[in-house]
Amino acid sequence: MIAPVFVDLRPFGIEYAVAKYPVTNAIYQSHLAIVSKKNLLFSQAKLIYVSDERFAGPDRPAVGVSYRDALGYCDWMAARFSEKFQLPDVETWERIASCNKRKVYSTVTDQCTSEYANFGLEVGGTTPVNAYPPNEFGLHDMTGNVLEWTTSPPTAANMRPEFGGMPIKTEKDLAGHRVLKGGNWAFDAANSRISATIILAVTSIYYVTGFRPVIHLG
Amino acid sequence: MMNNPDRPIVLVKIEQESETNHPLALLFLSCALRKANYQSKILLERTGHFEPSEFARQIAALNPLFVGLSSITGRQCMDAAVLARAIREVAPGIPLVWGGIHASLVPEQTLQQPYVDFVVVQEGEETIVELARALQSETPNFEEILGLGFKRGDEHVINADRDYVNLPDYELEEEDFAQVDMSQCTYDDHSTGDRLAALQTSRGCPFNCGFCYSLRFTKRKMRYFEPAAIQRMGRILNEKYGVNAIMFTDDNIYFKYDRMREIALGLKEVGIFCRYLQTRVEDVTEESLTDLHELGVRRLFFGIETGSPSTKVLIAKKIPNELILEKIKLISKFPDMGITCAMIVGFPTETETSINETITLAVAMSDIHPNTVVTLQTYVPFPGTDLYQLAVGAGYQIPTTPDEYGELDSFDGDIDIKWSRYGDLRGTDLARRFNLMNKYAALLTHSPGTNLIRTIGKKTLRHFARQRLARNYYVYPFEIGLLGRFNRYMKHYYKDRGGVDYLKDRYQVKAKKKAAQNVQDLGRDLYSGAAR
Repeated sequence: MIAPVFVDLRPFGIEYAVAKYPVTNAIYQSHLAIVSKKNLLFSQAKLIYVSDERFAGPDRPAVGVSYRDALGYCDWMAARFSEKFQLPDVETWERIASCNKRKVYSTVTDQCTSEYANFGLEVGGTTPVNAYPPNEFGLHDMTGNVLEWTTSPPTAANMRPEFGGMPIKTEKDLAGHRVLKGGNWAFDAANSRISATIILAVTSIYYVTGFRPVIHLG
Repeated sequence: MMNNPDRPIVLVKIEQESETNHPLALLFLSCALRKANYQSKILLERTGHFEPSEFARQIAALNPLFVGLSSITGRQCMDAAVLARAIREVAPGIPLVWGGIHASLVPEQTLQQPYVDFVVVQEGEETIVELARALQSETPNFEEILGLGFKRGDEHVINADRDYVNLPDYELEEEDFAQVDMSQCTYDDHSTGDRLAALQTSRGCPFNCGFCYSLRFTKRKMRYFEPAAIQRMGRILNEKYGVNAIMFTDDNIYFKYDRMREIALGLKEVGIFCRYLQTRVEDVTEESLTDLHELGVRRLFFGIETGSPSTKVLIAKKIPNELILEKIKLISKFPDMGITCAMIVGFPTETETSINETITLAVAMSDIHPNTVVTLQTYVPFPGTDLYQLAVGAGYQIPTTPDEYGELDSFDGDIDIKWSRYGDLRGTDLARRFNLMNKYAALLTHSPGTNLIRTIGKKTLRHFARQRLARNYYVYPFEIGLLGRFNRYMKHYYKDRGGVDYLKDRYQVKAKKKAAQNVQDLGRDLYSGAAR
């Protein structure tokens, strides 16, 4: 089982320690086992897709975790370790993904190829979080494998009318959604770029979404 | 006194999916216009059966106040665009108003087209009347019309949404049905000898399936006609047009079972059977089936969608496979109650694993109930859903014009599927494979045919189809070719003998024979004591 490891990015001028991998099935399941035993909040959360061979396996990223449950995980970790565990906002996520460079993809070669990322339906499911080489900061899967929740709600400008979604008119509408970054195992190269975004409701539990906590060290 | 005696409002719909038109949406609009003292005219055409410039001239000759074009994402959008361009060319001064599902989902994009002057977002019954008034006014103020999109110079303005209409206000009356050639809007069911028409008793759906436009379009808001109003509409259809069976086009009529039952009973009183019902499989019970069977229902339509538990979560329709099979087992107790199970393959991010789970469920359903018709339709990305975003993320290029949406035709099998894969297949190769799967799925039904030869034929074809689907083997699909030839031959054979009327007579004779046989059987049973 891959242990949760955080990479301290302060030497790179970023005041965060970032999880080296997205949270895996094994780690999330152990979290769920503890919270359900203690009958804590978020005990309703569960891993929905663990019986699907495309997403099963302890070292694959936990998918189908809603934004709220991802936040719940961070809060639980924060209470346990007295650290500022949180999800990144879009700006932080992009800063981390670009490794202080002008990059298109968060891979060490700045290319989106099957050697460096799980994307484009090539594999047909998630892969263990250490299956592909890390980026320059030593972080795996910043491009591909699973979309990662950010804390940023979309702006009205993010809501592309050609998508035909519900018209976003109020702050409340916007607050019900979050921006996700990083592409996933099914998205094509263009939608795996650092700049690419997707907007989903905070309750979404699709098998393409995961999360990666960060610790604010500032 | 009409507000527009010399200038009718022309409403056009180009039907694609079937040979029969279902112009209910236009009939409701026409009803709204009639009540506001506006004269309207409905024109119906079918894809590939009209010449655009000729049709445009025909419309222009009516000197309409405006032309309303119905749009549904897909081929119909392209047909509407072709016609709109032709009208613009023939009569540039006629305002062109786009309405319907597509224009409501992507109003800004629709309004960007030079052949669109206005879009009506969501339900149009009230908007269209206010637009007619504005167009007749010397100082029109389009800003005040809720649910309307319009052009102000180079700017495209979409006004705020309008509240949903009060459906009972638009009960269709004789003059509304008379707006269209109803012979084009009814069809004969060869298996029952019924004359069928479509009717809508409610709008909206309380569910939130991830692939469906309804969530965006009706926002789960339900509106209903009273059962008495349905009966009145049914009486007109029966007395004027000889309709004796109804196919409901509601998003979900079964949702309120007692209301639906009341409707069915009311229609039966005026000589109309509810032969087909669309519902959710988890809702049926032994009692409701017995009830429906007695009411004359002979086919239930279920949106099963997928057999993959993961995809069920993706589309927010989590009916477990075990429950589906259990319910179908229940229905199989009524051999003459057929079921049509609509399934979808190629959802965004779907792969071989989940598609095979769908096929496995399709085969299992047909194993339980011989009278199961399975359709395996290819997923088409519709704007306004989260699944649409996933399709775009996987590489689907968002069309920029209504014409481009025309390529999203799940019937011709040439969609460039970028959002799913099956083994090594992607793109149009995958669309063709899905099409082939659908053809074999249609052969899974194995209820007895009308004669021994047909029964043997059906069972033989089912055997091949089942093997192919279960083994994922589609090399040399000779059965499909043979069946196509046979069907063409039979079509000509029947045509030579009088076509539909011949078939109708033939099946009615058989139905009478069967009924007589049932009476004889009952007599025998009574005599032998079995009935006791």
